[in-house]
Amino acid sequence: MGGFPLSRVGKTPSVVNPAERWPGGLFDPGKIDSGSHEVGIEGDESMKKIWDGLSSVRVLDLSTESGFMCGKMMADLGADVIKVEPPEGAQTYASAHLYGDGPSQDKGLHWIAYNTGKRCITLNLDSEEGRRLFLGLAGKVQVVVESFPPGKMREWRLDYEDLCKINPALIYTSITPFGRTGPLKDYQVTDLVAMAMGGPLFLTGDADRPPVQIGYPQAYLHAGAEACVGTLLALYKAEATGEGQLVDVSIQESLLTSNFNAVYTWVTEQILLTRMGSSRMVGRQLEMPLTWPCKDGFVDFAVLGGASGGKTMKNLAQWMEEEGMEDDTVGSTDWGSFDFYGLTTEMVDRVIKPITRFFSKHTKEELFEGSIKRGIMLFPAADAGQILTDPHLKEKGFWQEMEYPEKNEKIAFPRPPFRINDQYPGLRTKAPVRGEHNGAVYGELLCLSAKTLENFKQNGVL
Amino acid sequence: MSGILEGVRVLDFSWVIVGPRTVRYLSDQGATVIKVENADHPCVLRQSPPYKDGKSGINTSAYFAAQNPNKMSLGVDLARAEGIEIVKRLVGWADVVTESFAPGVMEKLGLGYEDMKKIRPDILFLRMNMLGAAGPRASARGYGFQLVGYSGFTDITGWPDRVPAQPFGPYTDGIAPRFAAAALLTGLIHRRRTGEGACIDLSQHESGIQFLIPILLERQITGKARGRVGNSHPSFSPHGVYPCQGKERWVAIAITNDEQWEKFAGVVGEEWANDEQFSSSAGRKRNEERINDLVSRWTKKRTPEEITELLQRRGIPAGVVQNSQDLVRDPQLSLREAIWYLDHEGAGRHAVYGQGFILSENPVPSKKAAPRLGEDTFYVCKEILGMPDEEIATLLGAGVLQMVL
Repeated sequence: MGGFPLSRVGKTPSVVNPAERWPGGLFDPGKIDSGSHEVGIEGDESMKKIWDGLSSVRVLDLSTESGFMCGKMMADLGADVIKVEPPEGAQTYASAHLYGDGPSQDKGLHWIAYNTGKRCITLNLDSEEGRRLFLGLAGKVQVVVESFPPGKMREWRLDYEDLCKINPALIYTSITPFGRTGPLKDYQVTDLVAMAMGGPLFLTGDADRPPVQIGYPQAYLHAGAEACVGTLLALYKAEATGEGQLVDVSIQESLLTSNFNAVYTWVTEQILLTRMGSSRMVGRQLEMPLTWPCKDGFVDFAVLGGASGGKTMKNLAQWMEEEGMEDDTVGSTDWGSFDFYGLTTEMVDRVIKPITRFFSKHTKEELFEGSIKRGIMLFPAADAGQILTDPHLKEKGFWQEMEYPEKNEKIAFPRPPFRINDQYPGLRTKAPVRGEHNGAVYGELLCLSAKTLENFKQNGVL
Repeated sequence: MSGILEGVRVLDFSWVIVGPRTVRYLSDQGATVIKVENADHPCVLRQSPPYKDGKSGINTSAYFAAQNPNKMSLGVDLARAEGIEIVKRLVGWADVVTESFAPGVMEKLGLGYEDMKKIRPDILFLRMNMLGAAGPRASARGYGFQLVGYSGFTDITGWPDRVPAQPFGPYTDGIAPRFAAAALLTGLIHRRRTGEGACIDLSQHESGIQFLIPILLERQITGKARGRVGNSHPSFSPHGVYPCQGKERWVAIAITNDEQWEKFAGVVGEEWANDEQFSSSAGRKRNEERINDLVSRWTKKRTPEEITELLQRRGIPAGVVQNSQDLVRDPQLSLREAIWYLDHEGAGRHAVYGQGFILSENPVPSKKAAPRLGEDTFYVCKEILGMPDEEIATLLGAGVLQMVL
């Protein structure tokens, strides 16, 4: 068959010269001097080979830990992301999830993990001079990301309405717990409180104990990732039209999707879903395990119907039979067409027992390998060590080794979760040290000399 | 008002959650999206509750409806050569193709990236397979709610003395769409600049891992495994979820510094709160269990709303552990229209999660309920492909084209 005649309905994209897209000379790719940008060779090179990505986009990232992910994702996609930090550092990064002893921003795991690929400058926004420098920088970037409490940037006269006057194409992304306006805008959150107000917390945990958090704080990551998508939408428009805008991200709202069918079930059926620990609900409010013990830990597996569920159950029954552990209920039920609304407690019991027996004879790895071979839907509950040694990720080249100075050896960082034309974009650099790129960035963007910078430093501006 | 992606054309083969949610970022901003559906193998979500009046049916799932507003549906049997032919013509129409089947499925249908490139050299192809398209385990099958374990969430969530507590639902399905959409939008920017398409191969598994990078680094730096810790925090105390007045009512409280504790003690106004041992964060951490017990006794006498109000007024992080009913009533979410309500022919009036952001100049321009299966079959064939009515009728009669209304 022939392809669809492009002349009729096909749309040939207009190729735009980037230099024309940013009015007022804001954009000049020639001025981005990649030589002064200390790049990990691997990451930068591979990105260039793959695609242009966001290579002509520069981002000022003022975010605190609730926004790191936004800039990280943009850096992973090729943007020049400049982290802006107060000269004394932010205490909050050093308060938790550290390695080693003593509070230090550079030892915060969250900082190390979610600032890869960024450059970092210091700037004291409490000082008049600092704010002046910031305005200078804001005229030379396409995106500003911040996560200060609502009103803080306005106090500094650096809010969207201030910055858009000097840079109308600017995308200004604000990440706040509940959004910039509204009755709860000034509420204080931590990750736990955000997860509570956004809904996922209520749905997680054992039924006989309080709702429980996910083992590493998640709310800020959802918000940062969501912010990245909003920013890119705005950027898509700004590149073509020169019109910037404000992207008002709410952490609470970013968590709604993690309620999955819960709110939908309430609105449609007035049934309130609640937490079921390691189980899931099937049929008419019955529980079935989702996390099952095995020989050396746990696996995630569900008794399911439908085409793929039926296949899984049939293949599992056969595997059990091969090992002399056949079971009538598991094996002779036609799960593919089984009506789970007809499921009884008694039957649930009869299914769980033999499967549990079978799983506990095998390790996670054996169960996973066997399941892949047999077309069974089962995954191991991997711990960090197993993820790091997983053969699939290793062979795919998911890990990027980077020097970690204090460790005196390289450690593995995950690359972004996608490959472009069969190649992973690399991570450009490890997370920067505070102020590491003061010379390069201020030199490049504001033509400040080393002497001027030293002066600013003495006066507490940088 | 028009959407940012007005004029961008998406041919969407994806199903369940990750793909449809990713594509919604585009469809909500005006992209023209044709979902390619097959009545013989309908999307799992079409067969997932909640249903209107509790009655399952191909068009009655509010879960499906919530994932797919602002899209069209083409019903076509891809097992038939004529069906493939029609879809291939649509590839010529499309700027973007999205899919989330198991690796190999599209290739077997003759609809792999290489096939599509022949039809449309600048096609932007986004595949969102569970473990990505490559690698020794790429053929592993499953859903997001099993994949959470492989991404590392199951092992670290819950209580130290119990079987892990699974994060609710297909947790990684809430993560992957952001990475997929970010890569796709970057691809569109690149394509507009250069005229080049690309194949984006997203892994849902690796997307999940992005949300646990610190524990992977920690493991390498300290060699220590992270266990399950319930609701405790490495340095904050009290930090937890406390029972309140009423059935299944809870409040989350996190005291992050001494100043907050002092204010908290003032609100509590009971003797224990002024105990010297609790005045420093180290002291509170040391006495964590006791403090949690005392805080619980205080919270039990009050509603979570009352406590949240009392503490937030003093700048102390606290919040109602909101259930779905609370979310629907939440004044902040209502003000921002974070939850939409749409009327769907099959699913009735149902809720839809909006995006986590508001674009000041481009709020979502229109909110059209999700399509019933094949609802737009006729439109797509006639208006987009220019097929004569008789041909459409013949193909409908033969079951190559489908409409289930």
